[in-house]
Amino acid sequence: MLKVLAGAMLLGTGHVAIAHAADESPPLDPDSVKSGRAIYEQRCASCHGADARGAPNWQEPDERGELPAPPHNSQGHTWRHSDAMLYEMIAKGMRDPFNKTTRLTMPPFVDAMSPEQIRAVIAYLKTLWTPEQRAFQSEESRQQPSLSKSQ
Amino acid sequence: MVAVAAHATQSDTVYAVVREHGIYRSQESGKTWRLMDSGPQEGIRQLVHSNMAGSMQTGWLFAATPKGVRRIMDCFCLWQSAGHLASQILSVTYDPKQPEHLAAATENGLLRSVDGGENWTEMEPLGSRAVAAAFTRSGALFAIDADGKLFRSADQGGAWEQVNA
Repeated sequence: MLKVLAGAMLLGTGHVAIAHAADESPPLDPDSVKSGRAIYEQRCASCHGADARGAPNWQEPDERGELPAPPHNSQGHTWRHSDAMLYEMIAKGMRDPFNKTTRLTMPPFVDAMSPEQIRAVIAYLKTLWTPEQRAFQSEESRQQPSLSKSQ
Repeated sequence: MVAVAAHATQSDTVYAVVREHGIYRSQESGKTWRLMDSGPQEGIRQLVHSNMAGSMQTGWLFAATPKGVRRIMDCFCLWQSAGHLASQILSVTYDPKQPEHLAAATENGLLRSVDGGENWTEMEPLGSRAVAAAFTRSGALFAIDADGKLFRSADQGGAWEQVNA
């Protein structure tokens, strides 16, 4: 789990700055969050759980050799990805490259959801994270601009 | 600090493993650092970043641990056991010309993988215990034994010649 360090020194030099999570992440639009929650419940909850806790034993490959759907709450790793990366995953789908099957375990939603709807789902997911995780993710998003024009 | 690894393709990005903290990343050649992850439970002896395909971000990190090789995308999603090696790993390295090709110096000898660490096979032994291994950019594999002798292999551990360094 991410530790937020404030004013700590690394490597004993005293000359190395430790970047720590920003005090605040950008506020979320309540309407977008509300819309995103409804879309999540319709499109995502069947695999990731209505409570976003993911599939049981999501950290280990299942009997088919596929990694199960991870949680989206603070116990998972969704918060480690930038907005651009989350958008790509939702739009295009994905599979772990070491899955024993070749199918996309996360299906693509580019034809089922509009860009605005995808962004709304991401906004809702952010409400499931701790303030520190949101700040971390906000910084990752700042460092990684949009991957495609559709975003 | 227990380990450090340069990014395979980003010239200003480096990772540092600090005991009881975890893995820090700097994208400014060490000027600023950010704690990214606590690391695998087993602890890290050595770390390497690779540009092997399939990552959601820019590459992969492979860690030599006391209980095998651990692998994670450099977005730090999920540490996975690479090949379920149970032995102590002293060193892990990858071939820049074929990033899915790995080599590991273990307490049970030198091992290689050609599939990103999913499966491992034994290399020809050095005749003594290898404690470290490293690929060069040209694909040559070097290994050092416990006595400090240096060896070179041009065929990924199929045969070794001692190097008089």
